[in-house]
Formats: sequence, C-alpha cells, structure tokens
Amino acid sequence: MSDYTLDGQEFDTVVLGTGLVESIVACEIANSAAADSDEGRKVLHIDRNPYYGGSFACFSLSAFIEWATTFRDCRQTPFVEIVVAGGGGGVSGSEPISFIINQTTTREECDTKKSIAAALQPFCSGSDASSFDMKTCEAALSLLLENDRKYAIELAPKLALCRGDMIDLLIDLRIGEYVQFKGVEHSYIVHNGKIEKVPESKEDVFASKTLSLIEKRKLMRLMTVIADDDECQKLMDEAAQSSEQDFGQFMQSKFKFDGKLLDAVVYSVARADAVHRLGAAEGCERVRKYVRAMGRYGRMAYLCAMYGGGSELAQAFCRLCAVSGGTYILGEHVEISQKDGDAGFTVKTSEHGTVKAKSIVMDPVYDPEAVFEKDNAVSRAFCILDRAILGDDTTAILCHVDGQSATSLLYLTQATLAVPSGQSILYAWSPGPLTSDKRVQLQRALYDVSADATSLFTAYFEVCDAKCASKGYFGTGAPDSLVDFDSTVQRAQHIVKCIHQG
Amino acid sequence: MYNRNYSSRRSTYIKAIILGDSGVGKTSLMHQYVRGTFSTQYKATIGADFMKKDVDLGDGRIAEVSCWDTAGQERFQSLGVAFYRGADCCILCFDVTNMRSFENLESWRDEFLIQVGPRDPESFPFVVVGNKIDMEGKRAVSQKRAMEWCAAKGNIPYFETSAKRDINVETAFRTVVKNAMDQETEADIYNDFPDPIRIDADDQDTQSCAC
Repeated sequence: MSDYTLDGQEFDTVVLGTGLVESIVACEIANSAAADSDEGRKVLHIDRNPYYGGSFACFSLSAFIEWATTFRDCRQTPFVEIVVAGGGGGVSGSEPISFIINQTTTREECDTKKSIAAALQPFCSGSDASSFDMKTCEAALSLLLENDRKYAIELAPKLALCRGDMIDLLIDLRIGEYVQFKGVEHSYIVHNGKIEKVPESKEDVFASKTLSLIEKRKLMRLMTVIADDDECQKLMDEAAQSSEQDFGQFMQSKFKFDGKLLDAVVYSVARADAVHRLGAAEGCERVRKYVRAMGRYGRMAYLCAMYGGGSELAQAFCRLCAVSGGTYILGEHVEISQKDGDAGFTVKTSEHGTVKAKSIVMDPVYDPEAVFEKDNAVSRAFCILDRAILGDDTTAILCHVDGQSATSLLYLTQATLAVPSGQSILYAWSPGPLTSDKRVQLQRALYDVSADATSLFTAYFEVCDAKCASKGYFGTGAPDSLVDFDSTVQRAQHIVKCIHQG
Repeated sequence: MYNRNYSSRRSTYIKAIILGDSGVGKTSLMHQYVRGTFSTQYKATIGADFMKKDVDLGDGRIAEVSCWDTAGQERFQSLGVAFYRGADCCILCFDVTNMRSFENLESWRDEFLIQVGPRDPESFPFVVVGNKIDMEGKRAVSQKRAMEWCAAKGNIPYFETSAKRDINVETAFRTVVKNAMDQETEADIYNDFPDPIRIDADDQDTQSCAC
C-alpha cells in the first residue's frame, strides 16, 4: 500500500498540519478550484503525527498520555501536568499520583496500563517521585483504561454558534452531514463557589427565581434592543462612539446593569476573559451574535460537535478536500527548501519523494525557526469526573468569575460521546501563560464546579501561539481562547484570500 | 442508526462504509449499486463523497442507506477516525486479480474494529466482496481461499462481484444492509439518546426545537 510515490509531482499548495485552520484552508483551496474546472489546484496535505487535528486534536485517554509524552511540541507546550487519582477513583483510598512531563520521549506503544505507567514513571513528581510504585500507578490507571476509547479528550475545545461562521461554512460547502452536533443546553455562571443558571431566553428571564423584578426588566430591555434591527444598530453606533469605555462600563451606564447581572452579560454572553480589554463595540457585537444564534436549532446559542469538535470538523474539511482531489499523508515529516530566484518551494517528504509547491501553508510548529510567543499563550486544564455532576445527558458552558479573573469552562458528558456513561469531563481555560497563579485560577474553577465529585484524571498545560520565521510561508497559529469557532474560520478565510491574491 | 417515521412505514438510517486497497473498485461498486452505472475510466477517487439509496427489504422494513467511500484518503493510510463514526455495517473489498489486496483485508478489518469498537466484533455486519470477476483469466485469489478467510472471521458472507458487468453487486449490499437492520432492535435498547442535530442546507431556520 505504501508503493505510491509523489516524487517529482507539482502542487499548487502544500499544507502542513491538520489543525482546524490548516484543514479549512486546504479544503477551500481544493474545493474552489474543483468547482471551477476539472484540473483544479492541487493540494498536498501532510501531518507529521499519525492523527488528524494538530493542536485541535481529540484523543482517547491513552492517546492523550501519548501526546503528552511523545507527540507534543515542547516549544509550544513546555510541560504537561497530570494527576491520576489513587486507585482510579479512590477505590483503594490511596493518594493521587502527579506527573510533570517536561520533555518528550521517542514513541513507544502506550496501549496497556503497564506501558503507560512505564512511560509516565520518569515524570513522577513531588513526594511521590522517590516512592513511585508501578503497581499502584497501574491500578490507578486500570479503571480509566477499561473505557479508554470512550474518552474524547480535546486539546482545544470550542463550540459553534448556531448562526455563526462555522455552521454557515458547513452549509455552504454542503458537508453538514459529515458532523453531528448536540445543543449546548445550559449556561452557568459561578460566583464565590456558587453555580447559578444564566437565563437563555425571555421565558428563562421571566421564570428566573434569582433575578429581582428590576433586574428582569433591565435584561428584557437589552434583549428587546438587540432583537430589533434598528434599535440594535443604534446601540452599536453608540458603542462605537464610546471607545473610552469598556463593554462592562458601557452596559453599566446604558442599561444600569450591576453585580451578578452585569457579570452574566459581560462574561457569560459576551465571553469577556478579564485578561484582554473588551471594548464596548466588540462586546455589543458579541451579544448580538449570541442572541441571533438562539432559536435556529432550538433555544440554545451554541452547538457542540459529537466526539470532539475541532478534530471532527478538521477531518470533515479534510475529507471534502480529498473528495476535491487533495492528497493526504499522515505521519510524514518534511524538509522545505527554496532556491534563490525560484518562485516556488521544494518539499522533501520522509517516505514519498520530493515535490514542488507554489505556496506553503503551515502550522508554525512545522517551522524549525518558528518564533514562540510565550506571553500569547492559553492555559488549559481538564478533569475527568466520576460523576455526571450537572446531568448525564447534557452539555453546558460555564463561566467562573473570581475577583479580577474569569475562567471559561465546558462540561461534556456521554451526550456528545465525550466520556463513558455516568462520568463527565470539565474543561477550563484562560488566556495567558500557565504561571502558578494561573494554575490556581484554573484549579479553583474546576474545583468550585466539581466539588461533589472525584476527579479521576486531571491535566494542566499551556499552548503558546507561534509565528513562522520565514515570510514566505502562510502561517496559521495556535487555537485562541474564544469559546466559538468564528475567529478560527475567519483566520482560515483570511489566509485563503491572501493565497488567491498571490 | 436512527429511525425516521414516514407515516406508518418505518425507515432506518444505515451508514455503510466501503473499505479496501486503492484500485479494487470501491467507487465503481458504490456507483453500480446506487446508480446502476459503470465507467471504464479509472481515476483514483475524486469527487466521490457519499451516496444514498432507499432499500425496501420486502418485509415492511425500509433502510435509508448512505454509502461512504474513502475519498482516496486510504492511499497513504490516512483515513481519520471521523470517517468511521457511527458505521452500521462495512463492505470489505478486494480485487480477485490482486493477491496483495486480498492479504490486506485482514488489516482493513482490524483497523475498522479498532476505530469503531463494536460491542461484539464477531457478529458485526461485515460483507467481503471479491471484485473484478469479469477478468477471470487474471484471477490470483481463488474463491476457496477467500471463503476460508471469511469463515475464519466469524462466517462473514462472501460475494464475488463485477461492478463492470453488474454481477452480484446488489446482492452483496443487500445482505450487509439486512444484517445491519437485524441488529437494529438490539442496538435500540441501548441507544435512547435524542438524535443529534443535523446541519442540512435544506431545512435551516425551519427546524423546530431539536433538543
């Protein structure tokens, strides 16, 4: 089957990395060309890893550990901290075991509890390190690995706005049938350790027991303004003029929101992150998009892809690219060279010969000289819980507000086939490098939501953004910290536009 | 697999995926089955996506079959796990004039079982198709050998076909679809979740609450 060679072939575009941005770019180039003529633009799409998704990848539990120990790019994600509950859920009552994986090792099979324990051993940290007991570690992993393939762990979970750019793109390309979605039924905000539901519709606002009558009227006013095109435009214009105010201040002065209600609008609806300043105009635009999204596929604003969003979507775009004539190779390494005065690039693949390319699109981690922006990182964490704390067949988006920090959380269950029945997975993320303060912030957010459950498996890591050193490449970048896919789609479409313009 | 109600007749959605080496005739088989056409021009699969066909099993059951082709991503063994999601049955293809394509059936079956992880791999609805029997003179894999392999893998039904001459294609697909439907009742007991939301261009904005 590996007799095929590409040696000597010429491609219009070689795309390196199968993350969501690269996959949309590959798909759009191949697809637009295929629509124009039979002999369209030729795309070669390569991933150096044996799986699709790049930094949007989705893994079984053992594959996640394999990513942390083997496939992870250490420049982008310097370390991964893993905590495994003792006895795989407190069965034997032993202490949790923690690991700090700060380097990668060559690939060894990570498919049994024994091989995984062996792969993790060198990274055992803290007081456990000297007393590391292989048997205890294997026991801790065994319960989790019984259902290994029932876990769909995402490196960068994101949601699709029902009326957002991702859904529009799927419909445009007629590949809605490639991916299945579930509605994100609930939105919560967490204050001082207390979880409260965010009203998602007028009905919710009326029915709410936590909102006062005055608060209900204020909220209804905002929703009425946003729902009316003229009124909404007026509001947007006004917001655009109030550039000295951030979104929170604008909401405060315009609608007299304060306290929890203000937080709900600023953090749960406009998804401010308390790190970047959210301008009044941008905030209003996000509220508008959120309200617009409701009612298309049900009352919720967001959809969550089954089995792990970014990766499934990336594969859908790759499939359409292949259908349009794109060539796919996983697990292939490449070297790129460019001769002086030559317009194109020479791409030497590790197994299938050397090809020529007019343009190169790449995840910057493929550039040996890529510049990693340490400050422009997203800190991420997740924990697998032994119980479905917020319901067994549901999906929820949460926001944890704590003094000056805000953490986004996503709660997934068997509803999207993210975990085995009865368990749940809780993701938390926030922009910024994973400092000790940031780690405390993520840990507190996870803990406040899951206090009643036992965390079977917890992980913390950061993912830095990167840029290509050479200006000749079209670089993509790491997933951002926004909840929805819109910015990801826009990034890809910007690159496609640049390529078409030559 | 999920049910759709069309008045009193029940229609069940079946996802069938076609696996096998490049060049064994997967796309031709699919085209012959769904459209009754064959093209002599070989082109490594481009443009094939998935095709749909309603199958009346004659016993009151109707299957809405969607056949998924590999889109050429099998050439460098780069089929992603998403391709396999929710497969209800699998058509394993080889070319009777190409021994290697027969030998590779084992790894295609293994890969399918790893990716799909059915509860009972031994009884999962597979069918094996030995294609290109119109080129009998060039045959490299005997019927006996193929049947032995199928018997050893839990009695997988075996059919020798010609997508070109339209021999046995319908029978092979019908068998695997029927076997998938027979497993349906059992699967339904375990699957009581609401159906996922489907993004269709046709019914956008008219869909009622799907949650």
